[in-house]
Amino acid sequence: MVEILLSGIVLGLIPITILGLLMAAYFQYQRSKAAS
Amino acid sequence: MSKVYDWFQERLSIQDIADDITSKYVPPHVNIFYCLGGMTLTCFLVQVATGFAMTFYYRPTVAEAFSSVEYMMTQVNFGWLIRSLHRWSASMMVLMMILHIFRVYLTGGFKKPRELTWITGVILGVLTVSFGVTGYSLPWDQVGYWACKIVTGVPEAIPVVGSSLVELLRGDVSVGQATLTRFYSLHTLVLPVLSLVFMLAHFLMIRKQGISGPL
Repeated sequence: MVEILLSGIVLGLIPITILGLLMAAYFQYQRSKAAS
Repeated sequence: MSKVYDWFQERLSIQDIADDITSKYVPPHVNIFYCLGGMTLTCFLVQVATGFAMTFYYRPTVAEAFSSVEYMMTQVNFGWLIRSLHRWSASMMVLMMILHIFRVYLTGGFKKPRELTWITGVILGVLTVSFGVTGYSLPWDQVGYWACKIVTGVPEAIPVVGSSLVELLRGDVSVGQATLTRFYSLHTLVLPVLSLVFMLAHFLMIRKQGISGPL
């Protein structure tokens, strides 16, 4: 049985989290580059 | 200070504990994704509370398990809410744990000196999945019964010791009352105790070493 709501939460949060983490890493990289 | 505070301070020097807690600052590189571990813990606490409440009504026998769950869902006051919370929080706990693993991996939080925190985390991950596997079969409905049959049959593929392992998991050559009893005991006693031990180790190490640094 496919639970639509659960599938949406799982498949939505996984890419958002990965994207957010990569963006945070990029901003950190930009900040440290600007500081040096 | 109040008399109650003074009473405790004299005996347990509680000010030291308060000083230790308030002396920790959140570093600037910390973002919302650092909350995922805490959210996994929150889900676990919901699981403990709702799971405990369900033990009042659930009967771990092959004849009564399903009817006791049915009774809980239809007759018991807010039984449907308690069980639904347990089911949803279980899914959310696994999801939050997976997202927490993403965060730790992508920020390098597993590197020296935090290897042991990572290892205890991996063990906690295995325990969480085991909670899921054992809990899924407890209602002893069609989906739970067949899931149990498939999962306990997996070690059969291991050479030499496979059949003995399957029998150890099932408590018999086939799935039956012994299997349900084992799953219930694992789900409500063995796994919670192991989880608490490893969670304590996980948290104490985080407390000792502090939050992992920037990239």
